[in-house]
Amino acid sequence: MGELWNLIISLTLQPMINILIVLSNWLFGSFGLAIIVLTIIVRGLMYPLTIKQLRATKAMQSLQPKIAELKKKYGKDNKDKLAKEQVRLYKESGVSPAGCILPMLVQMPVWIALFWSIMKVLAVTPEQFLGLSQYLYSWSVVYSMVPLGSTFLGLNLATGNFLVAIVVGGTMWAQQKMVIAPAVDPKQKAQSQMMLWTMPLMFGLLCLTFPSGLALYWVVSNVITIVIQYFVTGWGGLAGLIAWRPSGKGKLAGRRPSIIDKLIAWGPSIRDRKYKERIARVEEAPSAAGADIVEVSSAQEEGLGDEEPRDKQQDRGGGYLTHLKAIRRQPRKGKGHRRKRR
Amino acid sequence: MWIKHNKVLLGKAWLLLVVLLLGGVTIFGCVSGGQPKGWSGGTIVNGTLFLGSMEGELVALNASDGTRLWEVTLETARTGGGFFGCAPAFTLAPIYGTPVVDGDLVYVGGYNGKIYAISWSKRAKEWKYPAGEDDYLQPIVGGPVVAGGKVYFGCSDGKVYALDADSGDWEWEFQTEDKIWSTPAIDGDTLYIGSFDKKLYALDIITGEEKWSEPFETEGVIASTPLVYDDTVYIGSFDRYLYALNATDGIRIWEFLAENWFWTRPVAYNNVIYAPNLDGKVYILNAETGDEVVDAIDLGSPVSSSPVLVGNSIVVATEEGVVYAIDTANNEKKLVDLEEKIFASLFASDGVVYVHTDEDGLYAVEVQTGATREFNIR
Repeated sequence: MGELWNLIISLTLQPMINILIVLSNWLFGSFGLAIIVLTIIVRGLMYPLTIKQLRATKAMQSLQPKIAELKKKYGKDNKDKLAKEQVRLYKESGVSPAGCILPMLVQMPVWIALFWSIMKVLAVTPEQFLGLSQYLYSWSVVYSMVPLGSTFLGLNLATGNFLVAIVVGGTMWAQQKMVIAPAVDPKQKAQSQMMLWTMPLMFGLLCLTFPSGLALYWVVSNVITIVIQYFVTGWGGLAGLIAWRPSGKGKLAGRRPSIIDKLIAWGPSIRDRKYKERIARVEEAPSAAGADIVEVSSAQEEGLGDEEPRDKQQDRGGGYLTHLKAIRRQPRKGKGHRRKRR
Repeated sequence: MWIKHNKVLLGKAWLLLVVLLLGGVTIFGCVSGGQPKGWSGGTIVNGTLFLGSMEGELVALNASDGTRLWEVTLETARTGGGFFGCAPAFTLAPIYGTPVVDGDLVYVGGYNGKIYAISWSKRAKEWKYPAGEDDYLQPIVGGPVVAGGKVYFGCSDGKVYALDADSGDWEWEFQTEDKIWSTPAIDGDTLYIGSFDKKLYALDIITGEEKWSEPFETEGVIASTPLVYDDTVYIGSFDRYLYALNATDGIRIWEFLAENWFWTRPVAYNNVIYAPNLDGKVYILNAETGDEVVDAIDLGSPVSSSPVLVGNSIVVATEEGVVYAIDTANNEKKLVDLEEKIFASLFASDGVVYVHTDEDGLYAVEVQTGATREFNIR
């Protein structure tokens, strides 16, 4: 157990601590900037997993109406049948429930290591400071930089701060609001509301007592998540709060869009264009060319593509949503193996 | 069943996230020790042992049998609290520096930002500085030193303070550029102290003015206490160097590179410097040249408690709780494994070395035999 612990420390915590210190050296001795840059780097490395998780979550959300239908159909009387039908639904639509959780679990140790590397480097008490010595690499720059200056933009990164706590809570709320699907069922709605407020409140309160350096990490991390979510799933639950939207349905639809409005609209337009291009490429490709499997695009999941209304969709067999897979697996021709998609 | 489980997991994914994050934070936080506890060394005068406990008390014990004579609680200060007990808040006054005794008064500094003079005969506080109930300095980590009717100490506000030893009245202060955790060393009329600004200062104890033309600057923080031996000042730095300086002008004589921070004060004996390091080694150096007399003794665990000279043995304790005696032939002998972490400076009297552990245990170890007794201060 001790060796496993040491391995985790040497693989995650120790490199992050030393990178933080070196980054501080490069970034004009600013620990605040180092926290921001390291958070961006780590979140960048985690990007594929984050995307995977967001897409899986989105896909799961898109299945909720069908699941509700199944529940209504089989209800409490035939739970085994309900379970079987749900499995079938997931299978046919190419959605794996584990896809939402596994990427999150993989990212968790990295987040915790990043969190604790910041805590360790801040080293407020003598005990923490003494402990820091055992995590340092034998680079002279590391030894000469410690301890790092704890002031950033007039903020003492070593102590709690009310304003930063509010920003953490606010960004976390926005992040939650974007991903929580609108619920029809009152019970589900109450649950969603609880989800929406619990985390921001809890983390906001935590930030009052934890050093602001950690709060800074949370703020940056939340903002990154919001940006990624925006490009993957759009504004989600926040859409109602955005005054102007490209659809022109907002409160200020009539006014001339400002630069900020255009920037806000830029993300989804790029995203939609990309998805449409991908769909067009697939449609143009001859089926014999072997474009066997195409990944489910978020646009299709969201219904952003040029698809038919669900009630008018052609029944392609199987009884459930098949539109989530743009092109299903084609039967093999000849003796060749599947070709990789280019 | 499978699908049900997954549904539950999905529905509660956010809860899982919170639990894992907070769990990781809590476990890690409590392992790493977020709250200051203190690691006071002790002083023995006329058979009475004075020590700062982790309960924020100055405790007086009978040095021979460990009987508790009396105690004075410094103060309950600056209440605060963090979730999980991991935030750097405190309610007691942790004590890091070693108390010093001068006449009837025992002087001790608290992490709460006050220094106290406690009357031995009255068993009560004589004075405290700052005197106001709600007035505090920044945390005091280093210990005080008494000389010429004044008490001197460094503070995390970056200042060296000199107070009247009898009344606690302010005499002078000297500002450095960063916090001070080092205990001052006084030799003649000069006070030597290191600062987090990476400099070692030599100050006149009467006026507080600098005695060197400029402070000696290193590449790392100085948190250790200087050793003055034979007109030379020995000081370790976080840049991993141990420096020998001319005590008169602060000119470097030699330097020695180790593998980690020098946190403790070295010990000198027979023209040899014994310098423990956080790399787990004790370096044995020629005091004049800085050359290694013999290969460093590897104790296998960082040494953060200052060693002590007992007879002709240097007694060193590792963080892991093992106490060693190094004789003049540079052979180490394991005295005892206390199996409790040790950060506090060792102190000795009559062939017995006293060890204050991280669990607030106090042990008396016979240097000749290794026989160990535990005194109850908890």
